[in-house]
Amino acid sequence: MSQANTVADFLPLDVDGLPGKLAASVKAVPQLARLMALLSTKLTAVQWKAFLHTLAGKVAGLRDEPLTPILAGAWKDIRKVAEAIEITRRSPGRVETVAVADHTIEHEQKPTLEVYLDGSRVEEIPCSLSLEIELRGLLLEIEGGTLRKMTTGEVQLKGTFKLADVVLAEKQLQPIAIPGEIPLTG
Amino acid sequence: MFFSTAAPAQRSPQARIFQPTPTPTRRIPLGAFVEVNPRRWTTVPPFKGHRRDELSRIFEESHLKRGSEGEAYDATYPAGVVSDQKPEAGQTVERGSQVSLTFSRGAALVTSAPAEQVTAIPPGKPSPREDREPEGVPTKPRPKPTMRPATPYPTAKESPTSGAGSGGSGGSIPTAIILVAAAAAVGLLTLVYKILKRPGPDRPDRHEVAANLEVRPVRNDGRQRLLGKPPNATRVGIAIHPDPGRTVVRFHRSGSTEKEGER
Repeated sequence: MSQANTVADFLPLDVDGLPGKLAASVKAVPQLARLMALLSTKLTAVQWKAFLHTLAGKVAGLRDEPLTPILAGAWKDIRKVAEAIEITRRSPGRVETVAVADHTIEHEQKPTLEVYLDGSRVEEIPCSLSLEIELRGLLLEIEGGTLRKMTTGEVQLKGTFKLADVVLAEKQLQPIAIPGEIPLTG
Repeated sequence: MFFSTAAPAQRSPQARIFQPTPTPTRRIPLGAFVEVNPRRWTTVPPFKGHRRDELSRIFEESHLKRGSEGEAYDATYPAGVVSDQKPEAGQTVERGSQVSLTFSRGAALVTSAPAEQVTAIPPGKPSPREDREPEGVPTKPRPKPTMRPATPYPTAKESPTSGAGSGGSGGSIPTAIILVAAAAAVGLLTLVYKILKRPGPDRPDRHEVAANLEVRPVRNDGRQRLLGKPPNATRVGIAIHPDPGRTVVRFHRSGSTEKEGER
């Protein structure tokens, strides 16, 4: 798992079909229904379709969240890891390896898409991204007060990506292929 | 599409929409021009029955100018009072227009004896007895009208303009030619004027220049407003408001989970 690995890599989404999915979800998402009613007086049908394409691009872009900061942020709070970080900070050149017990990282984000009409915010569309990452046999290498490298035995991931209450992408808990060693910057 | 007259009134307090086309409450296509005339108009007040010294005040209040004046005998109005006006009262005209007035000279005076003798005759109105001779008054016999022989065209000798090569044509032919030429010239000038005044791609329509007011589309609340520019562009923006998220670590111990950290 490198910095390039993002949530989008593990939560695939049909980006080309997303505008159609959004158009079909207008009735299910009250924010989209209000937006369509408002913009119908300003935009033509073709323009509304183009707007949905833009909106779909933004929605899909919400999954471009890199995984390693999420993981590193979670591990830094583990007591043994925090102690190793403190020790290596005080002793330059010293490397600490921490074997972390099997655990699950649950991460949830609730970003929103704000729609502006002629400079005024007219609607706020809530989205949610929830991840469940199960790690077994994790080894963390810590040097100079930072996480340098991680080695995992097995990683399983489960995720859901929603626009309001409409599920756009979902992945059941299943193993994901990650490299044996992943450099960490955080 | 409905439109209000409030916006132009705010733009120019002196102006008001005069006879807008299309009429109010009528729906028109988006971006269509509404023909309005924001110039200043006024209603012609009644001048009849007013004396001369009152007229300056009425002209001032109604923003009109004095036009031509005349006098005529009128039994309805006393002498020195306006007896007729043009345009008539109640008509809407542009401010600064001229109003022609006719002042009454009073009723026409007629002497009692002799009964047929008219001492005063209103100008321009010939008396029905004008061509009759009063009885008992010796008059000079009128010469009988002599009939000229019917000569539609003068002969070559009579025509002062006819030259040696005129071929014996009449003296009225040059006049007719001049009249025809003048009519043709007037027609040609009228045609040229119409062509020049015709609106073209580089000559916008007169109404667009005179009153450059357009209608905005229907709003959600059903109201429309006359504004300066049509909505030629709508700006829609999308911004991502990120959320740092919340992370929880749960350790697996003997089949159960234990919360270690939370961000």
